[in-house]
Amino acid sequence: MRHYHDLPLWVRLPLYAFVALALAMMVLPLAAALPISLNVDPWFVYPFREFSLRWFEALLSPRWTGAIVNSVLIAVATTLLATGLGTLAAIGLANPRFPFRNLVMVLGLAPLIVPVVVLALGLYIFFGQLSLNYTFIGVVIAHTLLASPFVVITVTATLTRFDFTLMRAAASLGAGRVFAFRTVMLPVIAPGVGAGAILAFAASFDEVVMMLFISGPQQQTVPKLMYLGMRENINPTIIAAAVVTIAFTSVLMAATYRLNRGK
Amino acid sequence: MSWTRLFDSGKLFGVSCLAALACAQPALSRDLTVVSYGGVTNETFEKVWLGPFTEETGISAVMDTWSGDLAKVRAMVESGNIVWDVMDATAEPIEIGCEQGLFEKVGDDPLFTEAGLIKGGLTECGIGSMTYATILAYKNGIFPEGPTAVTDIFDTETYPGKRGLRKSPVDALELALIADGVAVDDVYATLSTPEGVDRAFAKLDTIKDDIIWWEASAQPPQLLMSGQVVMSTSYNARAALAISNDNADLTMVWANNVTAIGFFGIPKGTENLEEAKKFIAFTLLPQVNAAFSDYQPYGPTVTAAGAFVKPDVLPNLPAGHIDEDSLVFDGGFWATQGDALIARFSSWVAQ
Amino acid sequence: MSYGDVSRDITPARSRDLRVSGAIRKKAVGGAAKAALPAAPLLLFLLLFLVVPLLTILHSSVSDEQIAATLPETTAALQSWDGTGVPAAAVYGTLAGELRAADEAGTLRRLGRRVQYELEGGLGILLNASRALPEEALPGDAQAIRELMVGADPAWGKPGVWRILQRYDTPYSSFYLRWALGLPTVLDADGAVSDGPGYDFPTIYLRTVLISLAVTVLTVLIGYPVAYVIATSAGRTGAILLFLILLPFWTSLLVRVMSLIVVLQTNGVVNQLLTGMGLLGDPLSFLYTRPATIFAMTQIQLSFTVLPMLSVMRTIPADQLRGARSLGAGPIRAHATIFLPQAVPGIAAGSLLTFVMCLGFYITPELVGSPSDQMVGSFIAQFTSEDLNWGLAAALSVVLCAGAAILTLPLARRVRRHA
Repeated sequence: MRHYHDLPLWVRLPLYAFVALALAMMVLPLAAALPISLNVDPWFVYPFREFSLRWFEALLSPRWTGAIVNSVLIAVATTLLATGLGTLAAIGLANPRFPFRNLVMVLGLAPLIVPVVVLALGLYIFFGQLSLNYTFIGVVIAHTLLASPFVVITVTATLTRFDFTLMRAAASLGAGRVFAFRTVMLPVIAPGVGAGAILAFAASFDEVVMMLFISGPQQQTVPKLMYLGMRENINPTIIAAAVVTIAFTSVLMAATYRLNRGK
Repeated sequence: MSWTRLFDSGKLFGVSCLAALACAQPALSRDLTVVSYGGVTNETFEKVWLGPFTEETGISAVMDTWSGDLAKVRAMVESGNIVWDVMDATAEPIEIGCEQGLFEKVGDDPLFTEAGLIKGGLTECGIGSMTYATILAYKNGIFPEGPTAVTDIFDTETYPGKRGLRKSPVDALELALIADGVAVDDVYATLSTPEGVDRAFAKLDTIKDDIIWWEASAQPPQLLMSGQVVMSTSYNARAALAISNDNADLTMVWANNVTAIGFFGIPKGTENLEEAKKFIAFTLLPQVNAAFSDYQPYGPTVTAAGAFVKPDVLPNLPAGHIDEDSLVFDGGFWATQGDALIARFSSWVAQ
Repeated sequence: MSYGDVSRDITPARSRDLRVSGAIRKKAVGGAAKAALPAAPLLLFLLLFLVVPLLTILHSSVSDEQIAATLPETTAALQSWDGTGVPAAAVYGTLAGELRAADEAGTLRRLGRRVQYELEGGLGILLNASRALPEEALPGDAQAIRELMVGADPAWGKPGVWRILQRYDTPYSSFYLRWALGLPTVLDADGAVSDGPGYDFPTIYLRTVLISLAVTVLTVLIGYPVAYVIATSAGRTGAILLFLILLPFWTSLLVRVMSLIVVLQTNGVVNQLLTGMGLLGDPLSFLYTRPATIFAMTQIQLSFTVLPMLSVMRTIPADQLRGARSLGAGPIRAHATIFLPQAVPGIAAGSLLTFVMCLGFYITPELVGSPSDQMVGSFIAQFTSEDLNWGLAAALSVVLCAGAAILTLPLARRVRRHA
C-alpha cells in the first residue's frame, strides 16, 4: 500500500523471493516434521510403512495426561502470581514519583536478560538450603521469576495511555483506592493485563531449563517429558504432543491478537 | 567481612520467609519412587514389577527417569532432600556411589543374601536387577559384508562412516584396548596403569571425528534408522526390540560383547528404606525376576529364575553369548578408578 | 534514598510546584513511598528469588571450604612452612589424624575430589595415604607416619600436595574463578604447573561469542528485509506475514529443534529431496555440526531480532522516502540515505537482544550440535548436575554474566540514548 510500491520491479521481485524464502525457513521444518506423528514405526523418517494414530493414543497414557495436568496447574499458578505481582509493579512504576525508577525497571526486566541456566543454577543452590527443590512451590516460583517481566512490559505499555488524573477524579468523587482501581483503571489496562497473563502462561507452559534443575518426579510437565523423550524415549509421541501444543498455542495466539486489537 | 554478614542476613531472611511457606505444605509421605533409564525400560518396570508389587503389598510406587549420573543422587543425599528410593543402574554408578557413601549398604541383608543371586550379583550396596550386554548393531545394506565384532567400530577403513558410541569412558576404554590388541583377560590390568589409560585414549583419538555420541539407551536404534550412523554400540535389548517390534532393518553383533550386571541401589537416608528393600526383594522372586525378559531381553539375576525364562527369548539374552572373546565387566575396577577416568573423559570429549 | 533521584524523574510541571513550596517537597517524599507501594511485592519477590540467588552464585564461586573444613589443623600448621622441600614430620602426624577422622566421617572422598581438581591424581594420593595408615591406633612417632605415607605414594615426599593444602586455611579462594578463566590451576606432585588434559575454557568462551555473533549477523541479514516488507505491507498481508514470523515464536523451542532434527538428519527430508532430485549422490550429515547449531539458533532467534526492528520501522514516515524519490534519488539510494539510518536503533536493539540471549543458549546446541559446539551454558549445566562441581559452575556463570555485561552494556547505553 505504501512505499514499497514505489520500488521498481527488479528490486521488488528479489525482495519478495527473499522474504518468502526466509518465512519458509521458519515454517517449513515444522510442516515437514508434524506428519511424522502418523508413522506406525517409531522412526523419524519418510516414507511410512503404514499410517497410525498410536502416538496420539500414547498421549492418553497416565504419564502424559499427568504431565498435561501438571503443566496446566503450574502454568495457572504462575500466571496468577506473575500477573498479580507484575500488574501492581507496573502501576507503581508508572508513577513518576517512583524512587529509583530506572533501576527498578532494569531489575524487573533482568530475568529476561540473565541467562536462564544461570538463574536456574542460583535457584537450585538457594532452594537446596530451603528444601524447595523438587516441589510444586519451587517450580512455580522459578516460573514466576521468568514470567513476571512479560506482565510488567505489557501493562506498562498500556499504562502509558492511561490518564492518571482519572484516578484523582475518582478519589475526589469519594471512590476508595481499590474501587477506583477496579472501575476506572482496570478496564483501561485490561488488554495489557490479559496479554501479559497469556505470555506468562505460555512462558511457563513451554519452560524446560528451570524444570531440569528444580523439578522432581512429582512435577513432570509436557516440555520436560518432551525433553526426556528426545533422549530416553525417542518416538513420535513427542511430535504428537507437539501437534497438540501447537493447536493449543494457536488458540492462545488468536486470543492475544484479539486482545491486542481491542486496545 | 561486612559483605558476608550482609549476605548471610539476606539468606536468613529468605530462609525464614520460606520456612513459613514450606511448613504451610502438609507433610505428605512420598510414594516409593523407582528410577531407571526411561522409555521402554520404565514401561517394562511398571508392567512386570511395580504393578504386581503394588497389588501384592498395597504400597503405591511410581517411576522416574535418570541417565545414571550420580551427581543427582549426591545432591539429594547431601541436602537430605531425597525423592528417589530405588535406583536401577549399570554397575559403575552404583559401585562408585557406594564407595562415596551415597547408597545404603544393604548387601548383607538376609532379604538379599538368601535370594539366590547369581555370582557377582550382590555387592556391598548393589543388588542385581538384570544382566545386559553392550553389543554392536549395524544397518543392513550399507556394507557388502557387515562388521563381525564389537571392536570393528574402530576399523574406519573397512567400515567407513559415522559410528555411535556411548558418551562415557565405560565400555569405550575397554573396547579401545581390545581393539588395540590387548587380550580380553588383561584389559582391566592394563587399564589400571597410566600407560594403559593413555593407550586407550590414543586409540579412541583415532576415531574421535567419526563418533556420534549417544547418552540414552534409546538413541542407538534411532541414530541407525535415521542414517546418522552406520553402526553403533547398543545395549542388547534395545537393539533386539527395535528389530523384533519396530521393523528396524538392523543386525546385532555379539563377538567381543561386554557383559555386565545391572544393579539396584538405595540412596542413603531415604525415608522409604523399608519399602525400597521390600520392592527389591519382590523383584528377586524367581518368577517375577524372569518376567522382565518377557518384554525386554535382559537376563535374570536369580539362579532359580532361569526356569521361568521363555525359550524363544534365550538366544537374545547375554548369558548365551559369554565366551572367551567377550569381556565380563568389572564394577570393582570402576568403583576405585572411575572418578578420575570419567573426569578425564569429559574434558577429552569437549575438546 | 537520595532526593536527587526522585526529583530527576519528576515532571517539569511538578518541579515547578516544588520550587514554589517546600511543604509540597515533603509531600513528594511521602508520595514516593506511596508510589513504590504497589511495586513492593514484586520487588520483594525479585530481591528474594533473583538477587539472592545471583548473590548465592557469586558466593559459591569464591566459597571453597572443603579443605579448610576437613583438615583445619593441618592447614593451620602448614602456615609456618616455607614452601620448600616438605614440611616437618609433625605435620604428617596431624594430617594422618585428620585423614583418619575424615575417613570415618565419610568425607575423605569428597576432600579427595576437591584436591584432585587442583592436583594431578590428587584423589589417589589422598586415598593411598589413608589406606597406608594402620587399622589400629596411629603410631605416636610422626616420623614413622611420614615414612608410611611416602612409602604409599611418592607424592607425599614432594612439595606439590603440601603447597595446595597450605593455601586453604580460609574458606574462600579464587581457585574456581581462576579455573573458569582458563588460568593455569593444576599442579603436579612436584608443585609445577601441569600441562595435563583439562577443559579449555577460553576456547569455549570464544566459541560461545563466535556462534552468538554468527547467529546475530544472520538474523539481522535475514530479518531486515522481512521486517521491511512487514512494516510496509498494509492490512491483511502485513498481518499474515506477522503471523508467520510469530508462529515459531509461539511454538515450543523443543518442538522446533525436533522438527529441525527430522529435516536435517541423514535420512531426513532435506537429504531425501536433494538426492531424489539428483543434486546429491550420497546424503550429507548436516546434523551434529556447527552449521546445524547456527541454523537452529538463527531460526529460533529470528523473531526476537525482527520484532524490535519492526516496531522502529513502523514509525518511519513514508512521505520522507517519497520526498527523496521525487527529488530524484534512486530507490536504493533513497532507502540507504533516508530509511536505513532511521531503522538503526531497531536493528541495534534487535541484534543486542539476540546476541545476549544467544550467549546463554544451552538446550539447542546440546540437541543439534557436536561436543565441540557446546557453549558455556552447557558446561554450567554439566558441572551442576553431572559433575556436581558447583564452585566451577558458579564461576563459569559469573564469567558468562560479567562477559555479557562487558560486551553489551556500552552498546545498550547507546541504544537507549538513540531510542
